[in-house]
Amino acid sequence: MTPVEIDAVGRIYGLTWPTPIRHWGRPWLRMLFWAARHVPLVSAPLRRMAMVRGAYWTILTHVPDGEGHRRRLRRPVLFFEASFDVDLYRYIEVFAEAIRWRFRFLWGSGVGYPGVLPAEGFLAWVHENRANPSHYWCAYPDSTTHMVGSALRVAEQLSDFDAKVAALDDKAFAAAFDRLLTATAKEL
Amino acid sequence: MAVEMFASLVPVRRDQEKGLRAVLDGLGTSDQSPFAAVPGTHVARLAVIRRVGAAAARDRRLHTALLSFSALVDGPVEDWLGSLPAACGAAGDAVWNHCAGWPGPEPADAFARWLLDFRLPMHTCIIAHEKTSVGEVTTAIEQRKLLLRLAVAARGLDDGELRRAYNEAFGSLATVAI
Repeated sequence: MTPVEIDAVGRIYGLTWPTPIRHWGRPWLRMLFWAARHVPLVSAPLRRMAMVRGAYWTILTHVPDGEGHRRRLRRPVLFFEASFDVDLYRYIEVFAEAIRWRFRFLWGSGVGYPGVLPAEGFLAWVHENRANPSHYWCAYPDSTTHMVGSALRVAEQLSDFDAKVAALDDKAFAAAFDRLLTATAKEL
Repeated sequence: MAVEMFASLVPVRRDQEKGLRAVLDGLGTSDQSPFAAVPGTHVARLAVIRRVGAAAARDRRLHTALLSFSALVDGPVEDWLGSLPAACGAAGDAVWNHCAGWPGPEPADAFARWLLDFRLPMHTCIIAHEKTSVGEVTTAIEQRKLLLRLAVAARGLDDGELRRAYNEAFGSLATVAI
């Protein structure tokens, strides 16, 4: 296994992971992705966990050859890239536990797929295939996706508060501020 | 406005992989990154890909190295791509000129079209807070910090002082409309 660089910026981790898949995996994954796009229930658990800032999957059969053409790959490749809140081991562990069957459906056609659990085997497989990062930048690297969600909810409450307190005297303002802190305590 | 994901695999010019890696290694992080100057950028990633599959499998080596370039941006993506050359400046040019077919920084729409030619179609894409711009996110993060600080400081203040402290903290900061 090649040495793995830490793929993170601040609190945000990243992964660029092109994985060759077996030929039967292509129609299977297309069907799965179609379901993910059209049946919200399929991707709902992933969204609900709120650990992923951004992620995409695409199946590659051809890549640019640098001479103005595209060259067919020996095997189709499932290209996955993501930005998320926890280190890769924890990411795999959490998702393999929470959405184990979806994980199997998704990665089961990958060449060398070792099974979802234990996470160590899966992690080693990811490391064998991943691309080391060259540059990774985030506009707000110290805030996880979860923290951004909290901040947006605080901002919304603050906006409501700000609109309501202009006409209040200092005493009523202090009482309203107290209520604001109670309402946002969980988010702070 | 919607946050959009852009992803591409751009071919690296023959014999330029090493040079590209050196340029990428030299890109600064934090405010020194060329992407720090590109408005509407949430996240940007660059990775050089030389093979697909396990390192031990020799037949997985690509014909030419590919630069994986992806970003989470305030849409539309086409406008964001158009702003890249001017905003990234020489640091960006130093990256792209290692790539095949780079049209140069001008005109900006030619640059955008060149990158769009290598755009990856996404089968599934997940974006958190997909209706919130970079500005709204960073403002909200700052407001959360200020409110937390004020919550701690408020303990020792009378009603009038609290109001003044609030106005001082939030008076110059536009509250976010979500």
